[in-house]
Amino acid sequence: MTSATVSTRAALVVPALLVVALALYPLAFTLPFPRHIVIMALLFATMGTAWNILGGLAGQVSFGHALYFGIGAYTTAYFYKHYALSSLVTWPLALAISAAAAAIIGLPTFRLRGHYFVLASVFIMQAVYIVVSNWSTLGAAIGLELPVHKAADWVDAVWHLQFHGSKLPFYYAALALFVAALVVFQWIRRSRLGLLLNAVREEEDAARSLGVDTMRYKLVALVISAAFTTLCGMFYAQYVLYVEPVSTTSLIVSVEIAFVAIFGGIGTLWGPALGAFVIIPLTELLRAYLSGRIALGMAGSLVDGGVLDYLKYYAAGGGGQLDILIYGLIIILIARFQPRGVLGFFRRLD
Amino acid sequence: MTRIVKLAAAALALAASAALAQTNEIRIGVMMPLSGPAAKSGQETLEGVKLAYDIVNGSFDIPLPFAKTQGIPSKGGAKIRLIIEDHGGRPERGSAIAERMITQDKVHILQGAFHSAVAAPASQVAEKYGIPFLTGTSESPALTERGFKTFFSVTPTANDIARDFFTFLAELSKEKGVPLKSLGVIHVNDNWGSSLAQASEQLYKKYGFEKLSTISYAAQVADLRSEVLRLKADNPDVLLQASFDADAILAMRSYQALAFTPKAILAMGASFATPDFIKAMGKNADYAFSHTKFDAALIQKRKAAAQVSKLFEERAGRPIWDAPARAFTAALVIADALQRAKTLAPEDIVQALRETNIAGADTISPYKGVRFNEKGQNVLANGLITQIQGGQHYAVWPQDIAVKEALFPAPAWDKR
Amino acid sequence: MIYAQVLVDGLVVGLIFALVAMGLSLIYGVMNIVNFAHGEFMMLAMYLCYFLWAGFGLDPLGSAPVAAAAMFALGVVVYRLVARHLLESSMIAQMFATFGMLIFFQAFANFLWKADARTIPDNWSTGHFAIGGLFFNGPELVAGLGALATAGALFWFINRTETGLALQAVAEDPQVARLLGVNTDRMYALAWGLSAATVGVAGALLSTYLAIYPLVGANWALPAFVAVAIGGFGSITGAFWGGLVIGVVQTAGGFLTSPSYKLLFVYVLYLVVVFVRPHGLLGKR
Repeated sequence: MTSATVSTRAALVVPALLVVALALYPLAFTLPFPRHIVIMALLFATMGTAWNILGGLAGQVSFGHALYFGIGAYTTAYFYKHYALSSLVTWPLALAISAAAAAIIGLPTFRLRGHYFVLASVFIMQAVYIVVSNWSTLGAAIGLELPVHKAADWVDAVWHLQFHGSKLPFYYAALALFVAALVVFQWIRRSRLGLLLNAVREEEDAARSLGVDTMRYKLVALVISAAFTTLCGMFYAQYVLYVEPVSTTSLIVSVEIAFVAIFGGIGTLWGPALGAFVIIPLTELLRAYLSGRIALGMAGSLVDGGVLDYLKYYAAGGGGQLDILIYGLIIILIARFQPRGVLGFFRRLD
Repeated sequence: MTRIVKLAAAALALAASAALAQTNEIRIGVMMPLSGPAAKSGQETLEGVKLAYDIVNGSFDIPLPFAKTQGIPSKGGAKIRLIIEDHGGRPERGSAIAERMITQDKVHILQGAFHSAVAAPASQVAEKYGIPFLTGTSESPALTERGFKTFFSVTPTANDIARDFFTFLAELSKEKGVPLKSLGVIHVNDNWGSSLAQASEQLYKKYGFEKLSTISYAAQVADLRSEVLRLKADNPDVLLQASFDADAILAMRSYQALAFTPKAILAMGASFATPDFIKAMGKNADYAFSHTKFDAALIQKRKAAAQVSKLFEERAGRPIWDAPARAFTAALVIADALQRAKTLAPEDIVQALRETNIAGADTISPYKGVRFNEKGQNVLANGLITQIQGGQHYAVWPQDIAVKEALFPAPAWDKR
Repeated sequence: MIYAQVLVDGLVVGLIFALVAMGLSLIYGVMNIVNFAHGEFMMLAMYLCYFLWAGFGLDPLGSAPVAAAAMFALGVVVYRLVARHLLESSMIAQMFATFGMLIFFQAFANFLWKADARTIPDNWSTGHFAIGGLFFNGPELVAGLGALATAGALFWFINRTETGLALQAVAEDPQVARLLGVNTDRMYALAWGLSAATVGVAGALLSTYLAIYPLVGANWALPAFVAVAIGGFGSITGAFWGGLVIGVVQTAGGFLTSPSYKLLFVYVLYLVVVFVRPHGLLGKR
């Protein structure tokens, strides 16, 4: 055996163990909340990894990915609410719309470079939000609620993708999406497409002068990236059963997706996953265990409290968001000292 | 043989009462927006909830049921313990929080959520587990339209609010002989504001209006020029408005600047009646109507209102207002149901809620009372309409709560 | 007649967008950094004016110079602590640093002053009047004119003073500027200070009639980003005209179709412009 095959095998061992651990997790933790945290983390890890195809490999930083998430969420919600057709049936339609949107947006905006592209993605995101939140067919600002269906048997459950509220099917679906995203990301990165995207990222002008159709490859990256994001949007709609503009098709969601990847390590395989699995559980747990307790403990008005009470009150969102303050500080520090993200602390070269 | 049976029965009874004594608390899960854009309202609404349960748990000299007793008498004086969490306005958190509170904290009942978009999925989870979910603050009519068995809404919905507006306008129109044909609705483009627009669209023809123009604006708008110019061009007879505090002032000033004077401006919620608004607009605040579910006028009509407002002010820094008052009332509805419920099992609490029949006078809200229809909606819910006159707001409708007569139509700006 | 009103209203709000946009363009022109936290300086200035009014009864228009000075100082501090170290960083790092500042300042305001909106009920500009058939709102008109004056002052400074010309030199080519004896570090700091100061003045002007809350800066800044992008990053003149265009397009578009879509026109306009001229109308590089 050559050392190459040995190291390839070794390189697969850790990820394999990780996947097995994740697969066993819900069997060990049977309560809904612990499962929910990991489901959300997997969802964001998937979207972050997908985003990374465009952002990390192709070097095109987009703050417009919530559009594709929204396409998935709203397609599912609309057809399920009005025609009782779940994602099982509508996924091709959603992916088609997603690809079309990617093309329509990619063609004009990929001509832009640097800041102009990033800002274009922001403006398009805002424009989409305005349209969606005013579009009555999609429920406008109120959104769409997916009706609950009590499945008669397991076939019925799968058809409707509703499992009496059990989280297990959703968990494994999310895990499958995550693994698929990782596999696709790594495959692209090691393939000819990856080399071309590398060229686009590092030296676009040089590539073009060599006759490379950079527009085409950027579009391919975007379509693949968008496709995964759309699938996640469909998942979200089936999982939460309520779709509205702010939590699906807004700039905030776009930033959350991008941030997970950038925080963890843009351009790396495990960066987004690391980012997602740090940030999501942290936020969820802090909110679950702190916000209520502090809200209960404080007397409402800032009566007689010492500095600590003040801080606690504010931390609970009372004055506001001590946690977000720290969040912002961390972002600044990372950008200043370790722009490669958290993973950058563990790698010298990527 | 019988002696052994009797001994066993006695031991069992002892064990049972010991167990009962151990479950000497009732757990209520409360979810509110404590962060995000509605944070301040969410926090104050939560204070209303906390105050209500503190009154139930403690002994207060207030003319309200449960004030003088400690805990829930029929459940051995069991005290209520609140489990609170912030949902920040995101629907997916609503379901996660509900599920955690039910499966881990083992709450007996859920209360929330201010945002209808969060109450919807959260109550779906509750319905699945059979745990009752009660809202005093989420106004979307769609919530009770679902016909859930465990969902109950104490508050009037946006449809009720629109109905109140139209009824009031019809009365005014007839009384003052001023025909009203065209209606304008301007609203912030979120769940709350949109439901007013939707309700108006459904009802306006029924009340004799011929024309409706609806204008929505983004929640975080930089200016309202286009909107007000449009309104001026459409020139409706009356204007319904759903705005936040900040936009309310901007809007009124723009109406003034562009000399846009509808015969009446009716605002949903408290934003046209805040001290800041009155201070900012001065005498130009006059004539504005607000639809609210708590007002100082209630102090004369609801015995407990004054004391509750004062207690609330000690905790939150200002007198109780619309949302916390509704949450307060909802909490007392829960206490009432807990009292009447045969046991603390979910089905029994749900059954007790279904049989709720509380008189408006025993609350601090202007409702005629609290009684739920088969979909869980309080059919006796209504609001009251106030008008600013001379820099103060006075209740002008309905008649049994009114302290002053409504001034209508509003004169042009320069004639004030 | 109402169309004339629409135009005038669009121009008045456009002037303020223009002022905000110019500061943003200045930093980019000199340092190639897009400051995502630009709106936050405006927000902080608004709060400063509010507290000066609440505590000392100072008219916000009178506080404008104070706001300008305070924001100038803050701009320089931010440069020294953060921006200076980003000169060699990747675009992503720069973006995220300023984005982090956006989040930080918003949360900071939220932390100290809570989320509720505050307003200054009136000041000497309060009132409204009509000229011809056109209606004007006092504070808004004064804000627009104040923005115009400040924009003019900035333009004069950049183009007619030695320091201003030094700034331009650094924007053109930092290495050559250094060779010519210009202290580039000082110029960068100056750019940040000026940028923050001008948007601080915009904040003071807006505080006379706009509600003040932690997110207000971000809401105002977004159309201004479009203005800069349309006018071309690096061109202050472009930013100025971009601001006016945005103001009119927004007001007119919203009026003619539906006000809900008014910002949509702005974003679509951006896409049209950059499709034709990817670096904006007057942009550099």
